Amino acid sequence: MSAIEMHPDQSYIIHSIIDSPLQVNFLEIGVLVGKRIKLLHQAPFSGSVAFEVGENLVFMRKSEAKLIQVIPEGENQDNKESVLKTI
Amino acid sequence: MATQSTVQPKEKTIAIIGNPNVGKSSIFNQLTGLNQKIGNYPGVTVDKTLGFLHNSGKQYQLIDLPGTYSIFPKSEDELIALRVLTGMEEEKPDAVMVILDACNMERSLLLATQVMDLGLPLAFVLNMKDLAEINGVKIKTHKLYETLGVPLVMTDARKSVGMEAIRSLIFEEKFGKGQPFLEISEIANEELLEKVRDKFGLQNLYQAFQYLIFADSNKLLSSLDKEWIEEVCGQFHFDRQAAQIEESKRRYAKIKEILKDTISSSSSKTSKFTKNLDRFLLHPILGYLVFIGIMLLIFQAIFAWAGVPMDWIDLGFAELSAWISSHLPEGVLTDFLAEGLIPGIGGIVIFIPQIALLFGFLAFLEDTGYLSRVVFLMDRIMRPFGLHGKSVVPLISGLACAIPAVMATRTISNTKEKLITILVTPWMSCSARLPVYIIIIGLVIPAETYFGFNMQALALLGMYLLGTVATLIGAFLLNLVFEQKERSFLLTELPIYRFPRWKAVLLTMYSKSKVFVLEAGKVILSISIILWVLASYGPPATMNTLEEEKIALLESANSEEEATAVEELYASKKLEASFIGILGKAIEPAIKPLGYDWKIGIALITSFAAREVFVATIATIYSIGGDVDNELTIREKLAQETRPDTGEKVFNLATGISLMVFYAFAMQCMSTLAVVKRETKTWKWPILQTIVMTAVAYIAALITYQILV
Repeated sequence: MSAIEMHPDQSYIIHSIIDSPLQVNFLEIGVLVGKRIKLLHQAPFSGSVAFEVGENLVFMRKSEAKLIQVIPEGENQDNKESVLKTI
Repeated sequence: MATQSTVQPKEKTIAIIGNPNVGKSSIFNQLTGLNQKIGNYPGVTVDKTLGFLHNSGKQYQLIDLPGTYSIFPKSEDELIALRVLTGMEEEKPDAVMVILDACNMERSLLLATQVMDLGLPLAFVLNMKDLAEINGVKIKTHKLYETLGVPLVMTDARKSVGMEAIRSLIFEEKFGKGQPFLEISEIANEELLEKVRDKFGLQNLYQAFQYLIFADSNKLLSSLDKEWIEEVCGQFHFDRQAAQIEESKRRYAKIKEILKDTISSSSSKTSKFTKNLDRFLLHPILGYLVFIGIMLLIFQAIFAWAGVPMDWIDLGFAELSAWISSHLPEGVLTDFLAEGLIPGIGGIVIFIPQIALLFGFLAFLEDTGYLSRVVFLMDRIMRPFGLHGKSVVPLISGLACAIPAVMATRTISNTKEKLITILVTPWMSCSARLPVYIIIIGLVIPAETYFGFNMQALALLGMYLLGTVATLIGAFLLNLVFEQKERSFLLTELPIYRFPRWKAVLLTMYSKSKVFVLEAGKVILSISIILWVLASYGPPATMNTLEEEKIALLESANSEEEATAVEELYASKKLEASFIGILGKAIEPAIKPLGYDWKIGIALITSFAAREVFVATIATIYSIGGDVDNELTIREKLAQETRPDTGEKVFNLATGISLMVFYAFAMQCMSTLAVVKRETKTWKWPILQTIVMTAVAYIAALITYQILV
């Protein structure tokens, strides 16, 4: 699932980031595969979305958030472990 | 490319680099105080901020590089960082100080280790150690130093902790080179990197790697060199984006390994205070109410507070002019000083209170971390108009003055969105239009109340709304015309809330005002001088006859009052006969359909320097003399003015509204044009802006007059 489909009360783990010219921007700002991510705020009318990623607070448009693929934290732990190993 | 000078330089240059919001400028300001200089990098709008330190006869020049997350050149800021660090800009810095966020070592080290690999002597400054301690982050600095081989200093710049350590680091030149962090030849073909290194005389393979990555955007490379780079990239199948991603990934992996042994974190919770405050400030309803409230407060304050010093400045310069004309010998030089130069300088200085206050507020909001929240709230609302969330601050600033507003567009990284914002901002109703509106509304709108609303207040509100709507429609149309060259995106950090540093806010106010006075001042001053010449001189024969007539009448004047009346009458006659008067008459056929006569024509021409000149010009033309600020007398004179042919009042409803519409749309501000030129680095946009805005003003005023008349 993508980051905009997340439930606000649950933590997720970034599983992958869809290939796009923004890949480097995600890396630089610290949105990395294996990091814990939580949905914090959403502006009205499908506006910007704010996340907590690891220790950082970041926000982006929905189009950017759609590129972040996540899995719920704790669920599918094996998958998460293998993801962590690949980074 | 840059070869090290063999002569020992007297001055050492140290570049300071770091992520945004890491306290980099805070450290820079603590070290250099007011001993700063703002310059330009060729070809880009990024300000070059230099500061100076002195110790035992040696000067140290500090370069404050723009905040950046990496040295991959995606924006102008990053381009500058890389250009300075690789010595393409000018001579390479002697050392680099990388500022790291002690709370976010992982991300900070991405940039820090990239700089390390460039091979310059450097030192790491771990800032925000107070916050790190609060958050339970413990950094084993000695171990980190041993691992990286780069000197480390812990600081808390907001509380001036650790500044002495930085000073001794600089003065004792304790910078170290460290070992290359990443083996770049594992990512890119070694043979390719060696080729690039040798071709451009670079020091190491990592510099060659960066050269390859940013060859496209590197304006300093010749097209021949670019072709060569493209060719070798093709030969070795070098994929830029893939290489960048691979480099960052490997770097992060290695950083993670190092941090395992050097950092212990009991809790990695983001500041609770920030999260709690954001629940309120980013709330879908409350968030917007707070934002509107803050904006109202700022404008209330700017108009109320700035008014007082602006009056002082106005009065001070008027008195200086009067003193000069009464104390210096009569002649061209005195006239030039009293009527051209001094009012010209006054016209620049009068804007300082508003600019300083506005930038003070913006710096305050920026420093607390609130401005990023404004971007979060407003991005969705601005997008349909081809604008970015970051366009909000410039547009709001435009209500006070377009000059700082255009300067504030720098934070917008997308070229198209930035350009649209620059081009439409002058339509926001700036404070210089206010005196024009007030005079005309007083003349043509009755001071009556309908349904509890004051008609004059409604008319003024209508003019402000007209400006705002025109700005948004203009942006919408430009969005359709301009081609999108790069993908527009929004991916930004929400910095934690911090208490503002008053010293930094004051420094921003000072430096922004200084930039304005020096940059825009030059243009305003020269235009004012030209206007003075055009308004003071005319064809010599006519001017001489007028002067002789005046002298004759003055001699026969019986009282002081009569003499003043003669002086005023001839000031007006001379203006009519001057070059600018001739110009006014020349454009009369063109402005007649708008309901204007040649006298208004003169005011229109002089207003192209700055809108507020309207009042002063009208005052001169209708020979009011004396106190220009006394709007009531101007209004009374204007109300009596009739057309010589028909005997109708000149300032009727149709002419008045048409004139206000013209002032709402026309580009009548030399300083704004100068700033647009500075920000876009070309005369193309300010010229186009003038033509289009003035054409729109003409058509809108024409339609208004023809409907109302």
